[in-house]
Amino acid sequence: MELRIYRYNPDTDQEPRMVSYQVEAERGMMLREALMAVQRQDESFTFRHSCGEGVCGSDGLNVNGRNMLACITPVEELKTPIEVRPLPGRPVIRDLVVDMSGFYAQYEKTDPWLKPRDPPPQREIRQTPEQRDALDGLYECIMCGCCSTACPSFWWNPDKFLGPQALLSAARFVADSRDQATAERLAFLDDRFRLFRCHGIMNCVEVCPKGLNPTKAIGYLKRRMLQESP
Amino acid sequence: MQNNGLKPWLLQRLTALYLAVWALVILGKFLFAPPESFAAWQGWVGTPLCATGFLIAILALLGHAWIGLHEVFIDYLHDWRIRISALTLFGLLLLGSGLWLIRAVLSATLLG
Repeated sequence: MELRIYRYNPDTDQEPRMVSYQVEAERGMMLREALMAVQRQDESFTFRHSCGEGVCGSDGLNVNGRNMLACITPVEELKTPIEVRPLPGRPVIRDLVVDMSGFYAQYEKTDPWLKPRDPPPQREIRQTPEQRDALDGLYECIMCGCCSTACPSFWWNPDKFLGPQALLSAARFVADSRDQATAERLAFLDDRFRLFRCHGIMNCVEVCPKGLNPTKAIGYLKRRMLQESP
Repeated sequence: MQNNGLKPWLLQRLTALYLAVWALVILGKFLFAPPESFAAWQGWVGTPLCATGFLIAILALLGHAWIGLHEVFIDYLHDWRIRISALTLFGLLLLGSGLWLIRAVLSATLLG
């Protein structure tokens, strides 16, 4: 099986290039294992990976033009030659490793923690089953970056538009019955860039390896804004 | 409006809704009671109810187009000088088109 991999070392290379590698496909082989086989052939090849089971979100890559997690993508489902590139729109550090600091900075802007106003209770803050259910589809994000780096609005304004991942996180805290900063969170998002650069093209939904729906979360934020606006 | 995202977003949807309804009204007119001549069409447009509907539609169209262009320019034109120039150019174009449309409707009203 042939893999065509994006190679670029900013210290030594003038420009990026695609390099072909041959790897023997094995039954049930995931793309991460194929990339590790490439790494055994060429130790200078670099990519991020860790848990190998779609939990850590380290190996988000652009494969045959679509963002996905290498560790849960069976190679037999991919058209060959398999073209592997770094996540789009992020500065390349080396080969398939990109700088995700801007992505994390946008996430941080959503204050991704509960903000209670009342004094903390002696025991846990209780939720009804319905209040807990409201968080389903919002809290499971593993922050792989597949969604935000598939979003053209995030490519054009990565420092101003929060991107689908951060907006999913924002919705997760607005929806949480234990959080008491909803008005403050919605006021922060009521801006020409932070939320409203989303034009609903749903690339984020298309690529999310966890099957989440950031577009729906963004719609939920807009609805809450309308409900809360004077 | 620069620092507020919800209002233009909402306004664009409300204007789209009005334009969709008004387009259906026009379509209905042509399907079920088509004007027999240009004069008959002018007469219909010139009736107070119809002229008001058209004038609101023109304002809705201008607002919708202005917000839409603004959105596109924010997305793609990052240099504020280029963005302001493009907004000014298209703003004048929209204003001119709007005045021309309003004049057409008002002249039909006067004729009617």
